[in-house]
Amino acid sequence: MIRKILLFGNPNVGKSIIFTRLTGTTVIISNYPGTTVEYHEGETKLNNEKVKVIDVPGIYSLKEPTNQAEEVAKEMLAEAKREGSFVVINVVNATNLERNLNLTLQLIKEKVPMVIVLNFWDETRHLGIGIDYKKLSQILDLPIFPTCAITGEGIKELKENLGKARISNFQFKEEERWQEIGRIIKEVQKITHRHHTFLERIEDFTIKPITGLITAISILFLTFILVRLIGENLINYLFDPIFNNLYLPNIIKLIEKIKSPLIFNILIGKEIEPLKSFGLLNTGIYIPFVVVLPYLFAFYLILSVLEDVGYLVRLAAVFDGFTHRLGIHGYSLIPIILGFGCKVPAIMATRILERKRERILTGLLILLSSPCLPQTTMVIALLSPYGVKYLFLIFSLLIFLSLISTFILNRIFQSEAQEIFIEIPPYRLPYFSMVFRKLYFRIKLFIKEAVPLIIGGVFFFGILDILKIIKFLEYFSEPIFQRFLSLPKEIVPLMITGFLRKDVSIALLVPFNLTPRELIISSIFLIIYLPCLSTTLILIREFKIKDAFKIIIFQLVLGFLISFILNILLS
Amino acid sequence: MNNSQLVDLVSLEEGSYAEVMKILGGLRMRFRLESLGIYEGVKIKKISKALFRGPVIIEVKNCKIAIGYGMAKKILVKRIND
Repeated sequence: MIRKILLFGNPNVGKSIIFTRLTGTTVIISNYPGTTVEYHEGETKLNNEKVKVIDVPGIYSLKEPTNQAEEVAKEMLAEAKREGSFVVINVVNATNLERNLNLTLQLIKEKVPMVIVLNFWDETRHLGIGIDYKKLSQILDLPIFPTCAITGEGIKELKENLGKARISNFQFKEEERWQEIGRIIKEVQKITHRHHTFLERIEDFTIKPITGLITAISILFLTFILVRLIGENLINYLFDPIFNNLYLPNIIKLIEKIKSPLIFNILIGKEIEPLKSFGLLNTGIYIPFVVVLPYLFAFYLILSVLEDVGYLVRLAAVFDGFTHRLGIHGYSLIPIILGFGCKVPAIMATRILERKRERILTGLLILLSSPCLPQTTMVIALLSPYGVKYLFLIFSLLIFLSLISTFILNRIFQSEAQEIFIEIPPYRLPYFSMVFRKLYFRIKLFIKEAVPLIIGGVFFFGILDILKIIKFLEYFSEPIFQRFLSLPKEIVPLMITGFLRKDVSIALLVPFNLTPRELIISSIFLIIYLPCLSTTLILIREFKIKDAFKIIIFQLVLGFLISFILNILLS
Repeated sequence: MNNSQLVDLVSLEEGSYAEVMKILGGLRMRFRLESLGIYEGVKIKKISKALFRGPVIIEVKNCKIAIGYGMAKKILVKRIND
């Protein structure tokens, strides 16, 4: 009886497509206890019995774990062995048999019941690779199923024959594993011709130093434009109209029936406009769903495509030399790029980094290196009438500050970033149902984890507002702004608005008729001084309150310091 | 000829073939390298080097692999003709 199926395989072998084919939609994504490693768990039916399917994190080796994913995979296998009644499906990339067999041989040494799936079987023909899989099956003493997960070919046969999984009796010397693989390959694989395909030419172009850098910058720029286009249109033509025309009027009608001004204040706010006060069902819904979600959707869509095509790894490799000097892994670039759009998913994405130190440095870079996309748009709109030089000043100052801060902090932490060591997979056309599936899970994660935090935060500030604590803070800080930053005291309330939504705080500078000097100082200040409410809460969640607090204090001090210096320099 | 001399992966010329002769690193680094098929005796091809002390990219067993600058410095190879 089989109760559990474990899918083992290298990264980039199409394991998750096989997983999806086996399980359908009932999938749980969880973090393995005590780690940031994510794995998927689902269910399938074998002979009308429910069977658990686990998509084990992709790994190259089981023997001596050198990263968290390998540790988790090893632990999962050990757990299955303790429980019994399981099979291992070893997913092998047929276009890359030699390297993939390394894990297969290690699994054989574990003496577990298994079958082998030769995925991307259809591609071997185009590439001129001929594999005698029956012979391979004989040598390894295991059932082998060629599949093409994208079309679903071979999956049915795999499912029907899982009962044939067996413990292999194949013998080899562990010290000669690679040499043994070499011998097997000689027997079962024939490569007839290997001409440079068009995709391979692009591959070389995008990874070589100079052309790689040009590609990277162009792709980042394009991503930026696309995200803004998609995000803004979603907000203006879909999310905002739905909220303001359908949702809000009806919710207000409903709550007015209670006839209690206090409850109305808490649930809707002192003002109806969502971003002017702190209504739980008004602002609390507007921020996560209308302000953040559309950009999140747009960013994740583009990111998932880039990821599935195989570009993100190249991006990390192209920039690794540079990020390494700041004490962070090339992979940190992915969250930093996300941060150009919105800081919330960016901070969540730092989970791909293994070390706490790198996560915090990356977190700081995310928060300081750029405003979020809506805020960038506002800054551009507000300052472009005064000439490009002011815009240039603001954005280069931000980048400069973030690099300097990270550089200095890295010196203080005094440890090296982990060396990059990754496979650069060949480009693949994205498989759109997988892209949308990933998008769906990421948005679900945001709604499950971030949205309750944001709503809770809005509620908390609503209470502070009703108790007049916010008014008191404003009154208290007005003289500081007037004396040290030479800014009108009316700017102080914007700090509070800015905490809710940073772009609006900048837009609200317009009525004050500020001089360019004042505009620059207040924009810089409003960009740096604090992360927005949603980001603050995510920071606390991801980095624990102590480190989150350190980051926030750092920003606050830096914000004041820079504005103060600018005030002196520009006067 | 200096063909038989050992060079590290960083100084190996782009496009040349070589055999890995020595890995100057701890056990952990050896394990990491071995899991992707890089061990003493394996044949590789250098694809490219990234800017600013970036990673070196090599091809081994038909796969492209990016290796951080520091790690690449510790892998000594011998040029071979292919």
